[in-house]
Amino acid sequence: MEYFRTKWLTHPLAHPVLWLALPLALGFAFSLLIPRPIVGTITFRDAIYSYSAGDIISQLRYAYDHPEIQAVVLVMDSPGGTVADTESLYLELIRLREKKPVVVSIETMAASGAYYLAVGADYIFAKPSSEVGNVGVRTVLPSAPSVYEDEISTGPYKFYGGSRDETLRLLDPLKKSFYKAVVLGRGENLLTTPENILSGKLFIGSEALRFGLIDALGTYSEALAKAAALAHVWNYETKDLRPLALGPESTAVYYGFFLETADGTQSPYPRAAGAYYLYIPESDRRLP
Amino acid sequence: MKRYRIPIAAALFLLPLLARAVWFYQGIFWRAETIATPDYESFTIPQPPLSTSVPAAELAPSHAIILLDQAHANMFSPSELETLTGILHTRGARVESVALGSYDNRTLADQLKYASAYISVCPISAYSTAEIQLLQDFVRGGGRLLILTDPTRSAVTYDYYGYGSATVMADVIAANSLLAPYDIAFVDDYLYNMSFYEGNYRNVFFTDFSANPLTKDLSKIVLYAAHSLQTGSGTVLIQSSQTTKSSRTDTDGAYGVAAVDAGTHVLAIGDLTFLQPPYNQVADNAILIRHIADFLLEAPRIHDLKDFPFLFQREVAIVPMSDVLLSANLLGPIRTLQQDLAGVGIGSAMAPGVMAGKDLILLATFSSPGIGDYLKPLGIQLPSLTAYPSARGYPQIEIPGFGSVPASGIGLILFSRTETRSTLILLAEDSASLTDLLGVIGPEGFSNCVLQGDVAVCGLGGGFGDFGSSWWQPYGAASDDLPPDLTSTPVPAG
Repeated sequence: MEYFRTKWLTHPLAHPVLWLALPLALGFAFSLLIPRPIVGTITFRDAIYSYSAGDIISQLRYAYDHPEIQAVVLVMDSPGGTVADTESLYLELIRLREKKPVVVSIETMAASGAYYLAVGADYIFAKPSSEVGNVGVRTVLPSAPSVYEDEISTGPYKFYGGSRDETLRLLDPLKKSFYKAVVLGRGENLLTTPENILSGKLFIGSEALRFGLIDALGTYSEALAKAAALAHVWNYETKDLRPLALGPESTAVYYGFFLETADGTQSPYPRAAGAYYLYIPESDRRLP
Repeated sequence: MKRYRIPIAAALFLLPLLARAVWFYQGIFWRAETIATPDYESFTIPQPPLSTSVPAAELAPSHAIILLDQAHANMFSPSELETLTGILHTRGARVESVALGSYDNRTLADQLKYASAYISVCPISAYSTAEIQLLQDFVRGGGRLLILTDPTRSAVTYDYYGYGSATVMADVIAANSLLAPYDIAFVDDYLYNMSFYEGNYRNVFFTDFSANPLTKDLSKIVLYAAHSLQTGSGTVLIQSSQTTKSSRTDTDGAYGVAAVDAGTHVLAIGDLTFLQPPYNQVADNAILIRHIADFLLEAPRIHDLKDFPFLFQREVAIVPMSDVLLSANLLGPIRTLQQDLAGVGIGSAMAPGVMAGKDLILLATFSSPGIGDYLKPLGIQLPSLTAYPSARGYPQIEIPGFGSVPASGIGLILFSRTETRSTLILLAEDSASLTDLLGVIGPEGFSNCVLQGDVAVCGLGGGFGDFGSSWWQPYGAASDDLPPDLTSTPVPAG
């Protein structure tokens, strides 16, 4: 120690090294506490239902809770899904967006509930031929109430959930709230009539851009760049939020949302009756 | 130099921090405004404009029979018409099904004889030419035709064994075949309105009505996914607002959804749902349904001879003219005639003459005294049978529409009606021929007879076959050439 004190501290260069190098070294060390910004990506290629929505919500919450994630890109290819799960996702997305910018990149389709979710973002990209829109609700009306000899309930609509007329009328407020979300999300960018939007049409990306349903035609890379720009970051890294939020082994599980026919073929129809923000392609309506 | 050491050290400390920050961050993301979300509480479930109860008008009870078509793969359940049929039943009418292979083998022709109206709802299978003709005759005779279609009632058939293609059979195709004679045609579409609707875009308000008993007191009705229709000579009764669209073109326009033909005997409506609870109680739908019931019940049905035995409205007096011998041979067929009448609820009794307040069946021969008075209104001239052989070789009867027919071997069945009486005249050469003539009458109609309006010319004895094809001579083509086997026919005593 004595050697160190006499040998080094008395060296003519000792003082400049101490007061120049040490703060710099400390500065370098502390600078590492400034995280490299991350643009998180959430990939959603499924219908919106409880399991898929649960996965996405976990990833949105992870992004919300982690400051190094400066922006999120939601890559979307979905026909929509259940009303309640769509609303859950939408509100969770809005919560994240209050804190961080969110950009949506539509791949093949963002129909119905998926578009509901998309309008919650700051910016929407789609491909020129992506299918976008299908704003509206669909349901299957319940059977007319009847009574059975061996199956008893405590009320006429216990089996059915409501009358056919009430079920039909339920769609109207759902449609209106959907449309309101579109108006709030797209704002002045919206360049078409309410009637055109509410017709339930699916628009291709280029047409959706013309109507102001999306902001730009572009790639996933452009979506990342846009998210980074909105977050005012550069030299960022991108990370898939699924393994971060759900564990490294996590993979998307397609859990029986769609009805399967007797031969195991998946139909475009959901298993359960109910109200859906869902696009069902009329591809094959034959009975199995 | 020493005094700068601390600021330089501080700067050196901050330099890497700043460099890293600038390397990664251009600025700080800051959202100035909160993001608005839909005010979910404000979106309420729309409720329909319910109508006040419509007091039933004091109307005379009806005994009309309304036919309900179920023979053309009709896509409906009779329970869906209960609001309409309920009114018909409470007014005393009876609704009878027209089904394929009915248990009593009644044909459509049989049922139309006694019906006042015919309802066809969402037919899928085609009407035959004969059925269309029968219904045309029915309408011409005062019967009412109600055709209801609905865009939701198409039938889809799948080709399981071929390419798996699906074929949609719309109800408008069969319905239009019935409506074509009346210049009305449904369009294979549905109407919708994206802004002025009742609960759902396809439930459309209608406020534009033509003046007609069917639209009386209507101010607003709602139809639920209705076909539009077009008419040439008919009248569109209910028309949409200009903002309504047809699914066929997605273009705005004033579309008709209900129409009557020029004779106001045929009513076509492109919706079925408005008849069903709870939609029957929405807006003025209940009033419209009541008017439809009136339309069906107030059919001014004019029966003609082909409707036998449904020609009479009251008890019938069977009156033989003075020269008719009520032999044992004749009494049997008269009894059968009475049974036929009783089978359709008409009582009958023999009477010596015309009786006030009763309909009449007159049994007469060509030479019955005073028979000419009955025949004159029908334009029928009987020959002077004593003048045989006439200049034309054989006594001829001039019958409007038929021309000249030989008086021998035939019988005439004639029908006339006035405000107070319906009269059926059975006319033949003599009492024996009259017996034969009664024999051709049955509940299914007249066998061996040619019917034209209210006149039937019936072959007696050997039937028409014995006369060949030359017994009937149209106007201006009367021939003196008689069938060889008739030349020896004895001349009836005058």
